Amino acid sequence: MSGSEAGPPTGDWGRLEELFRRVVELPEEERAGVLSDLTRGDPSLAAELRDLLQAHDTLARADATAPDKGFLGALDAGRAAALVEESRSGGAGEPDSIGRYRLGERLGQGGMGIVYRAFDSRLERDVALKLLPRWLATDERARKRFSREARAASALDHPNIATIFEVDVADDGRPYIAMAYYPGRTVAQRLEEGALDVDEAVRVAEGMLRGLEAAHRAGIVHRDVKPANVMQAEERGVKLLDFGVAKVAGSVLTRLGTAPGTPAYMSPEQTRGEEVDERSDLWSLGVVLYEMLAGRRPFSAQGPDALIHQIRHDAPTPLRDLRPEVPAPLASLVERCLEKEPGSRPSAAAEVLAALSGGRGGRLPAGPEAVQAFPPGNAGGVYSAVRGWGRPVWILLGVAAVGLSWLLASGVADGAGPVGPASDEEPSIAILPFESLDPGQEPSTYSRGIHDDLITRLSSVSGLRVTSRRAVEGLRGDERTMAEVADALGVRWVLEGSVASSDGGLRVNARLVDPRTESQAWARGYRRSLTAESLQELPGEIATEVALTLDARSPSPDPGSAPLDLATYRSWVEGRANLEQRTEAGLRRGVEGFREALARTSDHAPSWAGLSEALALLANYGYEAPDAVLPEAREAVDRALALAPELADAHASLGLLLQLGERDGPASLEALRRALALEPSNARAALWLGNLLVSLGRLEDARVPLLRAMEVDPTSPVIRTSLARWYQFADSQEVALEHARLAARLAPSSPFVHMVVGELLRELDRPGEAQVVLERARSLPGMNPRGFPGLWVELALAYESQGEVERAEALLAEIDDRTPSSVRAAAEASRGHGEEALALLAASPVVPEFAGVFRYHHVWEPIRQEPAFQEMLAQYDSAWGIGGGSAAPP
Amino acid sequence: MTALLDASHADPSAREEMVEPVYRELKRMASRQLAREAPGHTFQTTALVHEAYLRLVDATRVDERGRAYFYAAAAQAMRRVLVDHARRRGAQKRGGGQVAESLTPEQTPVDAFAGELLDLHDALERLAERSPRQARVVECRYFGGMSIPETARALEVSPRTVKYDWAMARAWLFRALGGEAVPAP
Repeated sequence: MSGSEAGPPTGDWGRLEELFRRVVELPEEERAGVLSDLTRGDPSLAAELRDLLQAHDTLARADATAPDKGFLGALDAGRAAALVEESRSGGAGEPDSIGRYRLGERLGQGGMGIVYRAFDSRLERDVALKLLPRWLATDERARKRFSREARAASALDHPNIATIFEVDVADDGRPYIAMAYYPGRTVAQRLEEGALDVDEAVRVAEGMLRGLEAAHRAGIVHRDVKPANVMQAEERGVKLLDFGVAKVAGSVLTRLGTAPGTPAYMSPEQTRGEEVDERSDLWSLGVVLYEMLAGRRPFSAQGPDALIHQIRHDAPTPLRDLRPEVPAPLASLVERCLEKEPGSRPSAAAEVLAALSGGRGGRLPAGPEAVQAFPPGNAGGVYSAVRGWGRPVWILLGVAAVGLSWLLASGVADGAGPVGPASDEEPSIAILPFESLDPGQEPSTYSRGIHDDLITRLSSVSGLRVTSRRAVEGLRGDERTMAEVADALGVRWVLEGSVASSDGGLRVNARLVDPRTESQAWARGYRRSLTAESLQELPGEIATEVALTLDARSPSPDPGSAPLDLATYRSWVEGRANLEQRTEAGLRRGVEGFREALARTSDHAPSWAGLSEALALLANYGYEAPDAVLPEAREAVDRALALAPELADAHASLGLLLQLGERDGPASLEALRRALALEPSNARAALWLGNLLVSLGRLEDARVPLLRAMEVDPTSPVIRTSLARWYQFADSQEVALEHARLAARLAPSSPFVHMVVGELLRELDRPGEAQVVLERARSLPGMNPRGFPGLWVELALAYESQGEVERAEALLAEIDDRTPSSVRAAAEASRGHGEEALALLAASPVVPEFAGVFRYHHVWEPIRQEPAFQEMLAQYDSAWGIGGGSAAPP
Repeated sequence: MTALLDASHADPSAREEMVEPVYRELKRMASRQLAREAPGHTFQTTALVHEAYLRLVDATRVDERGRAYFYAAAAQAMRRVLVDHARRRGAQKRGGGQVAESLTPEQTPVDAFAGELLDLHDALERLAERSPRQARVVECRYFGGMSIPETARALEVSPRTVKYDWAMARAWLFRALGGEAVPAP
């Protein structure tokens, strides 16, 4: 490559090239002949050529199915970025000084940055300097949150909290935290030498607790309590490090798709990405205390998946088994901290402190009485079995091309139900990918389709917990026994099968296996012709059989799912499938399906819930007037709840109804959360919860539910579109675009989705592409400016961005006075006419559905801070039943 | 820069001289721009190179062919930037002496990527020994994100030639990097 410009190839290569060109485009049959002619007398050349041709063919085939993703298809930005970032932040090229700090020895490296000893040349003292990734400074939102958190943390002044001196950004863009330097070592380093003496361990724990107590009083949760964050400073006692920062950086990191370190010290609720409070810190403290006493961690499975599973479900070995000299009250105190449910733990650091001092004969009564001073937990032992509702399904968030497989699952927004091991009372099933038996091929689209469809169908059987496709895919390729797989996934049953082509059709075999005994509970073979119809019915049939088989084997968990006759089940499954369409015809067919099912089995709660949902959606999409359908929807959902109070779908339908009818934000939140507590893999509840949170002005909180909805149901265009909107509001236009495009492929005749794609392209400064998309949408049947003025506005803006002002004006002229004033206001705002926009908004009625858009869409950015706009937002708060509510809805 | 482009029409060695300033510019931009991309994104090399182009060149004075030369130089520079970083990353892994608290998942794929890049770089060098032109084609298309017509303009050959070059180089590299050719079913 050195210097020479492109020139003709030489020698043998030249010949090879010439032959390649001659032969490569010939059809298969001709190739062999021509090839041997041309290479007569030179077998090695022939061999090389054949090899090259075969490689070329392989690549061409791969290209046909996935263009641009094959070999040398496209340079991956994410990895390139990571490469550049990584190599700059570590190793060679480390700076000697940052601002006024002269860097010294490296003290350690955590999940987020490197800590150096440094000398502050201005104040002439030693500090510990933690360097953080650059993007914390460049990512606007992250930066704001980060500095807010850092300021709060630096205000903490307590002997057991490492003092923070300064938080700033260096010249080269790297944020840093300067802290007091304490000679000594961390508990993590100490633990490398084994367990601590009981007294010493308690002393350390007391120090940690005093620090935690002070922070909690100031409203700060540490969130990253672990041995590496606890200093045993010589002559200075115990110091807690890294307050608050972990939260910010952690949450931003997870948003970008990178994980913040080992989960070994995380509380169960943390592993689910839920909001945590002080009691999560107490859990982590329990883990540390356990480790200090026992010399090893309470949860020590290999691999993040198994580890998280342990944290959520398994009881650690009792301390006194590992180390008998640990006093009983101390051991049970640790156990109390390690209660899976936060409510069963001590509620404040002070309580634990008191117990510790008590345990050593301090101020409080010594011995057993001290422990009993706490509120009693469950009667029989610390790690009791299932209590109440279902166990949350553990879902892995797949992110990014780099394939991080263990990123934390998302959970219920608040207070998940208690957990326990898989039991017979709670049928749970994993559906393994169906093997494709055709030689040499990846599982074909059919087996994938059947697999996906089965998951969806079985997920809608009430009382059955189905492990999501991601969790199962995470195991693909691992060599494990059935029992190990079932265990890893925490399920009671496994459904597996195979697909093979046969005589122009498909042969499908399915088996329901009991992993404990590896015996078949049910098996069946099917032959189907290769038509869409016959293939679409198949998963439903399999699902029906499986559901019935499981029902026969296990007691009904709740009245809503008494053993069904096949016909009712079929009608109900069809009803559900039709709902997915969200077209008028689909929704109406859904209503029909549910009514049929109910005609046969009038107390089938899921069908009542489905009927309610279908009717509500008809109103939501404007196919029916609200007054015409919502009352019946209300009756239906009441019926469902009366029949089956534990049916998640019923609560979800209620939540939907409360949004569409009463606009009661808080009540809807409650209903949807209940639905998710009952069935964490309920995609509908998660979707409606997410969208509601956006309307209520809680964008951050909406992330988790929306992502989970997508996880459970990746092919739902509604969910994808909602997610795209979320990302759009959260300023991640590129990601939003990906989701929106996918949604558009899934629902090509939905004008709304195309409008979102067009909008995003415009926001990304690609008006030419926006124009193409929007024009295509405009030519969809039935499109007109009255029905869909937003599309006209977007298209006009696209023209304008490209300088075609006349066409833009012409389009805008087509929008007449019947256009809702809010749409026209948006048009004005995006062209910079703030005054006009405000005037139009002042005259607009409150349309609760627009709350999210007004709160977060960029088009309102220029006028968002205006008092008139803020007042309008307050009206929207009232409309949803939240906020100070001084303004009454108009 | 513009002067160089002007000159490069007539004088091939001027094109070589362009690489250095482009390289420096890209390096500067690399950490700023690349670090903003969300992981998993298909790289818009053209966006980065386009920005560099606007920065370095007075666009009104340069024609299509000049622009193509620029992009080709940028592709070369891009390759160097990434290989540099990959080498540094590799060096860290071997010698750095740091002990990560836990192997955070994002490190593994980056290492793998660095390794892949270096392998590709080596293979490209070997290809260049046999066919400098084919290696340039790969450089332009993969590292520069250039289309076939753009590449043809930059290298001053016909698009057909580029097409065949690309097909053959790709197949050769695939084999050189250990790819398994699978016979047709």
